[in-house]
Parts: sequence; structure tokens; C-alpha cells
Amino acid sequence: MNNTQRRSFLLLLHLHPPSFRQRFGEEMFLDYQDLYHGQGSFRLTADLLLSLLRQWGSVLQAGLRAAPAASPSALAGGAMVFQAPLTPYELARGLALSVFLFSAFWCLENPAGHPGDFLRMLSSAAAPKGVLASAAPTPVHNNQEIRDVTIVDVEHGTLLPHRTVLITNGLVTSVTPFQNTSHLSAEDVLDGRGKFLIPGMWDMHTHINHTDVDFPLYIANGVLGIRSMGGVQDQVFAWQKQLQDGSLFGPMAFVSGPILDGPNGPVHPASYGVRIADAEQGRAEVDTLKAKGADFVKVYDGLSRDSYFAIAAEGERIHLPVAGHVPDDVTILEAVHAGQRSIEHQIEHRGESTAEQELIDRRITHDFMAEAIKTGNYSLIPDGIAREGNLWLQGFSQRRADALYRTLAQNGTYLCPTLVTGYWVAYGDDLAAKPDARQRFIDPGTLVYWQPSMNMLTKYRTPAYTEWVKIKWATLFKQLPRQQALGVQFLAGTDLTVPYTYPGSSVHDEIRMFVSAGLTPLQALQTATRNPVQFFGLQKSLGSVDPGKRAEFVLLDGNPLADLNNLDHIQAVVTHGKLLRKPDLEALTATAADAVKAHAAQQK
Amino acid sequence: MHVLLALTSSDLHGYGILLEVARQSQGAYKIGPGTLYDNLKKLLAQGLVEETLPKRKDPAPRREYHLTTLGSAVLRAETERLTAVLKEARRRLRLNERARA
Repeated sequence: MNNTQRRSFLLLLHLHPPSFRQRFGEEMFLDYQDLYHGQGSFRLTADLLLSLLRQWGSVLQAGLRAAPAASPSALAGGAMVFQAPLTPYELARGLALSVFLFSAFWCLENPAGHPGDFLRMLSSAAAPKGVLASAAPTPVHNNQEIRDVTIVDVEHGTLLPHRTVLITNGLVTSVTPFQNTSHLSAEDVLDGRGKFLIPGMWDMHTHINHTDVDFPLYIANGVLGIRSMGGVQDQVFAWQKQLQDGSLFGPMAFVSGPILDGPNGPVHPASYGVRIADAEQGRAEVDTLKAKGADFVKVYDGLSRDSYFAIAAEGERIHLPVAGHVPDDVTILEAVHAGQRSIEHQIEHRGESTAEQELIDRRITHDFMAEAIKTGNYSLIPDGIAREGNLWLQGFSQRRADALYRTLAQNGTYLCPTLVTGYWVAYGDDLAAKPDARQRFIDPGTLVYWQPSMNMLTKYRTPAYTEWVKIKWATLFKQLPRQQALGVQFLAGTDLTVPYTYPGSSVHDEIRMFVSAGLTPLQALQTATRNPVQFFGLQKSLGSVDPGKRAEFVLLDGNPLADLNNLDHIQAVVTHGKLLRKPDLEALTATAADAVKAHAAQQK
Repeated sequence: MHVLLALTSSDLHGYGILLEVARQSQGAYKIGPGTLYDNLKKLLAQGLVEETLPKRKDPAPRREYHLTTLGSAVLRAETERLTAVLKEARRRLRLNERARA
């Protein structure tokens, strides 16, 4: 289907009654696209025209039936309007035809305006809940143009120079070779000469603390989508709704709500967790979360086997994906086969080792944790982690690892290794010693606990632990290109709220870390652009600069595939139908800094 | 009836229904999306069909439709009715043939 045909189909769909169009328009359009190759356009156009008449006919018929009931006073006064020999059906057909002719004329007058408007409305109103979780906050009824830009195709790694991208109400309506003419006023035109356009980035593992700090920074850093991996559930569901109804400006968000852990699991802070005692409670909680609006379920270390498998099965049954940690008592393979969609933090250093089952059987983690808490000797925790880790390392088998990676790839289980967080665990001292201007976005009360001497994980560390975390980091880091080569799909995630992670910009760091590990710049960029979109099944509406897709883009000063430091040099962001230029982005950053100060003052 | 029949073996999205209807009628009966969604609108309103969320593993999930218990019952009743009609038609044809003979 070429652009003109696509557009005329969209126009005809747009002319349908709003209730029908919002409910079925997107599906119909997809079907027409699929059928187009089999049937040719004449038959489909006829079908669409008939549908138009039929739907307007039914609307008008329903209206006529409802009218007497709705206006008894008019009837009582004898003011019957439709006493002519016209039947309601004839009248409806006449009206539908006039509406059609009028609209057709109107559309000829406004060729660019409607397809976008239509699709945009679809993406906000007709899409299944959760799939396009957050719609644009305020409808901006105008066109924008990015002129003479180089488009970065994040699927193939190719560059398309000198393109003009026309955006209408948040949707790409055309991508054409650059011509030096434009009908738009200067404020709607963005000069893309020498600049590079990429799809918006995602942070696929985050915890939102302050929406007034985190959200503006995400947008200002070109991170236009997030996956919230747990928080205080009332707060999460509240801001999720605000994002959806447009009262809050921020990235597109997919949320788990709380974190599901066992009765004695390590979820921290405790307010993020829901304690699941058994399978029955697990199933019930999955149902409850779905009703509350969760897009997926986050599972955690302390869940019992029974609870975990019940949660996974219930999630599968009601189509609520399960993602997160693999519980201590479950093997990585079991989690993969239970349908867990993503595993966080480097497969938690277990599955590659022949010692995996032994580690599970000994339940070392629980023992030393419990003992440390009982005795108040917190050094037992890092010591225990090191002991457990060495056991894993002794049993490390590349063959077993490769087989596991292949299984992950075959099952479409994504890995979200949160490298920036792993780096902090191994090299926190180096990070603490380095000044970082981004610390102005962290309130002083929190910053104190970033110091190695203050943080629970580092305060009680032992030499054995310090040595172990570096070995672990190096071992797992080396596996990344191998995992990539065997077909594993990575997601860029930061685990925001962990020390030395920053809203938005840490995603750039995460992408660069993938390259340090041995991935190509394209593969690394895909972890934050293409892969998240595929993870959520949103390829039809996001993830590339193509007509019909939502315009969620970032304009960079330089080519990211040549140098990923260019991710830090953002010239503009297009999101929610808005064009945010550099001064707008700087203003967003400033509001975040102000909000941090306000929070700090409140704490005092 | 065709749409309900298409949904008896599994939940399908719109395009799947179009293909299944064509398959079941061996290509004799092809409906377009306009007809399909008009039917689906009515079936949804009557509670004969309900929508389900897209399948988790589908790379590009679409809304799927599911035959409700009521839909099944209606389909069964309609099949019974049509069977009776067919029976009657066959009986009459036979009578007709006999009369001619």
C-alpha cells in the first residue's frame, strides 16, 4: 500500500462515526493493510464505503429511535419534525451521503490534517489498555516539520540523509526527500541540517521516586518511555493515571505497581512490596493488580516455588506478563519455561553454573541474611554473598552458559542487565571519588547514603567481598557479546534510585556500557530503542521514523552510531505532539533542579 | 453466524476471523473488514462475543475476540434451527422428486 492509498484509507476510516471509529478503526486499518496484497484496492475501497454508509445509517437510526424518549416535551407540544413520508432508513442514508460528500470535500481542502488526527486518536482511545499506556497530555492541533535531517534506522543501522519528516498531531504523516519549500510557519519547523534523528529511548528498569524530578529529566534526556519495576503501589497507579489523562507530563510508562515477594523476602524498601504467603494469594494478587491497572507483574527473590509458579500461570491465563528477578528457589531455566518475559540484573549469577542447584539447595542467602539480622553482625551479608559467588564461579561452565543463552533467545526471554548498577556495586569507590554535575538532581539527604561509608551494601563489606564483586563484574561483562551473538535480546535499564544512577542520562551511560562490553554501537542503541518497543509489541506504532508511527523522536547533534557520546547532545525532542527545542529542554532540566531543592527544603 | 462459527475453535483477531470465514466456506464467502466489524459491534453489544487482550507472545498483538457461553448457546440453537430447516428442505425435495417420478 503506498502513501496515497494509505492516506485515503485513513481518511475514509476517519469519516466513520466516532464511537465506531475509536473502537474498531485501528484494527480495520491493520486488516486493510494485510488484505491489500491479496485483494487489490477496488474491492477494499468498496467495502470501506459501504461500511461508512452502514455505520452512519445505524447511528442516525439509533438517534431517531431515541429522540422521542429524550424529548417528551417536544412531543407533548405536537412539534414532530419527521412526519414526512421518509422512513428512518431512507433519511439516514440521505444524511450519511451528505455527510460523506461534505467530509470528502473538506478533506480535499485539508489533505494533511486528518490521517494524523485520526491515528493519534486511535493510539490514545482505541488501543488496548496498557499497550499504549500513556497518551499525549494536551492535543496540539498542528503540523510540525523536521527538515533536511538524517534519519538513523535503528533496525538496520543505515542512515537516510536529507529527509523531511512531516508530523501531524503527534504522528508521522510523511517522510520525503528534502525540498526547499514549506507551508509551515517557522515555529513549527525544525532545521535538521547536519543533525540525526533517532526514535525515543527507554529506561526498561526504573523506580520513580519523585515524578517532578524524574519525569522532566527523562524527557530532557530523550528517554521517552519507561518500565517502572516497582514502587509504593498507590503512588505508582496514581501517577500512571495522571500520565494517561494528560494531567502529568512525562514519558510513556508501563508499570508493575508493587513488587511481589515472599513473606521474608529481601524487597527494599518494604513499602514497595506485597508479601505473598502462598499460591492462592499469589493468584489473587495478580488479578487484583490487573484490575488496578498494572501492565505486568514484578516478581522477586523471596517468592516460594508454589507462589511463583502460581503467579506465572495466572499471569499467562489473564495475559498479564511476568518480569523481574528469578526467586532464590527457582532455576533460571524454570523461570524461562514458566514464561517470565525478562530477567533483571545479569541472570543473577546462577544459571551459567553447574552449582546452580547446589546454591538453591543450600539456600545460603537466607541463612546468612537471617543470621546477620539476628546477631547484628552485618558483615555476614557481604561475606555470604562472596562465598555464594565463589561457589557459582567454581562451577561456571561456558557450555552450560551458552545452552542457557540459546534457550533465552529461543523463548524470547529478554535480559535487562542494568550495567550501570552492576558497575556501581563493583566500582562504587571510583564513582564516589569522581565529581558529577548530575548530583544536583539528587537531594542531599539521599546523596549522603551514596557514600561507601554510609551505604548498607558497602559499609559492612569485607575484603573477600570487594574482591569477589570485581571478579563477578568482569566475568559477566565478558558474557554480553556472547549472549548477543547467540540471539539474546537486551533491554537498557538503569535501576534508578541505586547510587550513582541519574534519571534519563544514565540510560546513555547504560548504552555506552554495552559497547564497552563488546556490542556494536547499533546493537547497543537497539537495547534502548528497538528492543523495548518489541518487548511491548509496539512495532506498529513506535520505534522508527516512518509514516503512520507516533512521533516520539530525539534529534541529536551528531551521529550516535559513530560516537555514542552524541546521545548527550540533544538538540530537540518530539513527544506527545510537542516540539521541544533546546531551550525547552533546558527549562525542563531547571524545573527538575528546582523540585530537588523544594524536596530538600521539605525534608529539613 | 459465520463469525461465531469462526470463533469456535480458538480466539481470533479480526484478520484471523476474515481468513477463517474464507477457509470454512472454502473461499466461497469472503467478507471485508467493513462487514466484519459491523457484525462484531452487534455481537459484542449482544454479549455473544467478548474481547480478550492480545496474546503475550504475539510480536504485534491485536485485540482478539472470544465466543462467550451465551454466544456458544446461540450458535448451537441457530445450528439446530438450520438443521431443522435443512431437514424440512430435504423432505420437500424428496416429496417433489417422488411426485415427479
